[in-house]
Amino acid sequence: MGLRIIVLAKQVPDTRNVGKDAMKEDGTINRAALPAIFNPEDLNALEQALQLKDAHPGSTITLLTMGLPRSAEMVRESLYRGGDDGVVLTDRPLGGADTLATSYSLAQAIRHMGEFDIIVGGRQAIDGDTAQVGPQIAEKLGLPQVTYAESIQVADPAASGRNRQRQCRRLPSPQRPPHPEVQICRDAQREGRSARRPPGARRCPSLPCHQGVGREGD
Amino acid sequence: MEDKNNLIVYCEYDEGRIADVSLELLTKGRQLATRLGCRLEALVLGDKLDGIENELFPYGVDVVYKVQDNRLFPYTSLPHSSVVTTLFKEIEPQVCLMGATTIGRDLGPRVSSCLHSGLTADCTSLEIGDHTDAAKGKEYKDLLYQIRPAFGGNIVATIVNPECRPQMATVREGVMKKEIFDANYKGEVINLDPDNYIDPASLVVKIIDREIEQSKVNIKGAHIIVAGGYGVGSKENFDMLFELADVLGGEVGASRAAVDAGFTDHDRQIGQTGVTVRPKLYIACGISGQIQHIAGMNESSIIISINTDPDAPINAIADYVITGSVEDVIPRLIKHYKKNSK
Ligand SMILES: Cc1cc2nc3c(=O)[nH]c(=O)nc-3n(C[C@H](O)[C@H](O)[C@H](O)COP(=O)(O)OP(=O)(O)OC[C@H]3O[C@@H](n4cnc5c(N)ncnc54)[C@H](O)[C@@H]3O)c2cc1C
Repeated sequence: MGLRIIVLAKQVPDTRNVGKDAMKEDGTINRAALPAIFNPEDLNALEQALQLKDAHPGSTITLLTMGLPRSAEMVRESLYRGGDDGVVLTDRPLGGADTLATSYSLAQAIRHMGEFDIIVGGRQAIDGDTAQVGPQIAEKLGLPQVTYAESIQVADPAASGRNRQRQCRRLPSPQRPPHPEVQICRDAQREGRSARRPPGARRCPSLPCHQGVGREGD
Repeated sequence: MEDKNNLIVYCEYDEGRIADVSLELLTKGRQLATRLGCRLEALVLGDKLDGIENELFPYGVDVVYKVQDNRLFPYTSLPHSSVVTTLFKEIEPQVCLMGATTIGRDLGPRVSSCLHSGLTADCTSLEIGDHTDAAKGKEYKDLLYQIRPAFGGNIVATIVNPECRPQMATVREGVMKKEIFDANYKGEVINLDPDNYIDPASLVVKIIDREIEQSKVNIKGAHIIVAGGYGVGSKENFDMLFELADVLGGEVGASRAAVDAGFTDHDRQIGQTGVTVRPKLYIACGISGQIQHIAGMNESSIIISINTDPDAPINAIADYVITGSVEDVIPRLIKHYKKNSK
C-alpha cells in the first residue's frame, strides 16, 4: 500500500557563509547577499520520505514549502531526488512570519491539499534553530507528533500504525502513533542521496506548483 | 497573593528526580517572580511523585502542582500538552519557562500553538522590563525580556510578547545556574486529578519499547575543553584535538560549523544551541568566535585561542592568543605536554 507523504522544507540563507558583507549597516541581514540553500536538516526529512517510498511502492512525496517565489527551486531539488510534486506557499503578507504564523499558514495549506498519511519535517531550520514549526503544525491539525525521530518504519502496512524510534535526551523509544501524524527527523546518520537528475535533463520549465494556496484557506 | 497570573516552570521528571535544567529555571524563576511580585509555581507530571515537592521547595517554590498518573510517564507529547494547556487556561500564568531539551522543545511549541502565544527558543538571558510600542503609543510594564542572539552577525535580540499570555521561553541546560534559595522554604502542594486534565483522545500514542543509554560525552562537566571549529579543516585533524584533550585530561568540544561539516558529533556542539560550558581552561582551535558560539563558553576561566587570523573575534575575549595554524600548533602542544607530564 502506497503512502501519501508530505515533506516540509524551508529555503534558508547559508548560515555557514555569514560574512561581514552579509550584514547591512543597521545590523540586519542582507539576505540578497547570502546564497539560499535547501535547509540541510530538511534533506534528512526528504531522504526519510524517499526511503519510505522505496519500501512502499506506489507512495507519493509532495514537498511543501513557504517562502519567496524562488523557493520553487526546493521543489525542483525534491523532484530531482525522487519526489513527485510540490507546493510553494508564497505571498507578500507571509513575509516576516514568526513560527506561529508560519505553522498556521502551512497547516491551512495542508488542509487544502487533501488526504495524506504522514508529514515529515527536518528537526529545525539552520537560520533559527527554533524547532517549533513541526510541533505547531501537528497541534493545529490535531495530530500526534514524534520529534527527534531516528528512523521511521511501517510495522504492518495494512494496519494503521507504525514503528518508529524517537531520540530522547537519553531514551530512544519506538512509539506507535496512529496515522496520520507528523514526524520530525533529527540529523540522522543517514546520508542524503544526491540528486537523481537524469543525464541531460533540463530544468523543468513548468512545475506542478500551486501558488498562494494559503489565501483560500478556511 | 493571587492564584492567577504567576510564573510557572514546567519541571521535567524522570525516574524519581527532577531534571537539572528545571532546577536551574526555578532558580531564575525565583528572581523573576520576586521582581514581578508574583508566586513561583512548579508543575510536575509523572508516575511516582510522592515527596517530589521536597526537592522543589528549597528553590523558593510557592506552589507545586502535581499530576500523578502512570499514563504520564514516560513522557509523550499529547497527554503532557493536554495537561499543561488545560491547567494554563485555568490559572493563566503570565510567564512559563521550560528547558530547551528534547522534551521542552517537543512540548513548548505545542502548548504555544494551542494557547496562541509566542515562544522564544534557546534564550541565553531572561529579565523583566518595560516596553513602549511607539506605533501603538502603548506602554507595557514588567514584561519578560527574552534575550537571545539574533540570526547573522553579532547582535543580541530582546524579544517581548506584550499582548498574549503566557510569555513563554525555553532555556538550555547549563545556561542558568542552579542555586538553593532557602533550604527551609515551604510552599503549598496542589494535587490535580489526572482525569480532569488528561484528554482521553490524547492517549493514542503507545510506547512499545524503551532503551536507555547514558550519553558518552560529558563536556558539561569537563575542567578542560579543547574545542575545534571550521578552521580545524577535517575529521582527521580533529583526531589531533582528541589526542591533546587526552594528554590534558579534558574533553573535545566543537563549533556548529565543525559539526555541520561532519568533523565531529552533534553532542559536542558548544554554544547557544549546543551545550553551555564553564571550564577552567578552554582552548579554541580554528574558531572565529561568532556570538552563538561565545554564548556557550564566555564564562570559561581561561580562554586560549589558536587561529591563523590575528583579528578573529574570539581573540577579543581570549586570555592568550596563539596566531598560527592548527596543524602547526597542536602537534607542538601535544609534544610539549607529553614531555612535561612525565
Ligand atoms: C540560530 C543559530 C544558532 C547557532 N548556534 C550555534 C551554536 O550553538 N554553536 C556554534 O558554535 N555556532 C552556532 N551557530 C553558528 C555560528 O553563527 C557560526 O557560524 C559558527 O560558530 C562558526 O563556527 P567556526 O568559528 O568554527 O567557523 P568560522 O566562522 O568559519 O571560523 C573558522 C575560523 O578558523 C580560522 N582558521 C582557518 N583555518 C585555520 C587553520 N588552519 N588554523 C587555525 N585557524 C584557522 C579562521 O581564521 C576562522 O577564524 C548558530 C547560528 C545560528 C544562525
